Amino acid sequence: MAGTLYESSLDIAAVAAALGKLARRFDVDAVAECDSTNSRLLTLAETGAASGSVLVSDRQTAGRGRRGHTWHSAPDDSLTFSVLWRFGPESSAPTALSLAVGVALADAMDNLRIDGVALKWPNDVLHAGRKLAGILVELQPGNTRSAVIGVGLNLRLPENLPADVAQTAIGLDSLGSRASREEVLAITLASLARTLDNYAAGGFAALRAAWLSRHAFQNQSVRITGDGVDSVGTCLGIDQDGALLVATASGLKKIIGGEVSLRAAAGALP
Amino acid sequence: MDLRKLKTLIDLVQNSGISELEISEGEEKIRIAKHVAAPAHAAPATVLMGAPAASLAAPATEVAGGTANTAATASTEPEGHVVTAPMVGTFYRSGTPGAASYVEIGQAIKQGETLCILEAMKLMNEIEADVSGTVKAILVENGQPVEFGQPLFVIG
Repeated sequence: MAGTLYESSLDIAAVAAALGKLARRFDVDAVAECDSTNSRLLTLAETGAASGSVLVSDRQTAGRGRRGHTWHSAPDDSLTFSVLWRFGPESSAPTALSLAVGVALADAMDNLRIDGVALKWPNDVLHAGRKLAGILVELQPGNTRSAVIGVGLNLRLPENLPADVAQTAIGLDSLGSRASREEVLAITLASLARTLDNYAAGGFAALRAAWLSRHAFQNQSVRITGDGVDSVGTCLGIDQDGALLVATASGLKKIIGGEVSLRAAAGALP
Repeated sequence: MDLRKLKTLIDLVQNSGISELEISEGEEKIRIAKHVAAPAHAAPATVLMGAPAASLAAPATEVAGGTANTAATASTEPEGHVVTAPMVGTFYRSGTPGAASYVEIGQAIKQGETLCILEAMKLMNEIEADVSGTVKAILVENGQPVEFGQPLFVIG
């Protein structure tokens, strides 16, 4: 892609080779640096880019976490990419897509022989309570059937990471993975294709059990804070639509969104 | 019935699980109906206060009919193009907490400009103006949940 000073270090041919037959469902492009792969793909989506368009960036200068929170990204330390995914003409807005992508990432970790990956509602992928990957899903404005899925996966933690971040994050290398960035990308894309096909066919209900089997806080005591909420209760999981269910003293709370933070109520991390 | 009492009654219906409330006081009769699923109505509660004689004469179902409701809400909502929510979610007027709102009432906007963000389970959906014009009304408060089809903005 024009406009960057350096070429990406990603070997696109190696990604295609690792994808095998699935390579035809993706169109992978890579840049050394860009502001945000999500923003770029959203722009491409407006001009008619095909479902399965992928943009990988070695470095993001304005990587966006949820509502503007930034995440750390450096060349080879992380795998940062976005995928454009278009759902069928009759589909309603894929509101549980963040959760579906979490299932896909957890399955991909299985394929990399990494055990113990857990999901935290709605969009975090954890290992022993530490963040392994983040997800940011954005719909194309004016088209709720077209989504850009942003993934930031830690391959290894940079040595100069601030201590508070280093304690809450974890990289694939420390979990025993020797897979290359290309292999990790191919395995993740293959898992996304499989999971999103299931989502398109059966809605989130088809993925709910898979999500619950990975749920970091199932039946645990949790505290939800933010947006005028501060409740302690037992996390009962999610409903058919992906909404979080928490049993509190004042009744069952169903949470679909908002700036809420979820954590263990006391004691050890999941 | 004075306006303060009326407002108290509206709040009562709005914050309760009941969908309708009818009160008769002497010759006055008031009926408040909540329309949760009706996307054409901005206000969660619609108030009808007919002339006492008419209300008493007409059966209740006719008083609460669609035409009367539309007339009641039209007077409180500016006329124009209504932008509705394409999904359930939380309504945000700015891209990041603390940032300036995308649009304010009275602001001239062009088609394609961002009006707000809807978020559900960290799925972000920027809502753009589908027409050019002036923002006449912002019908939802920042951070509030919205239903599919709920009116968000009026653009005139």
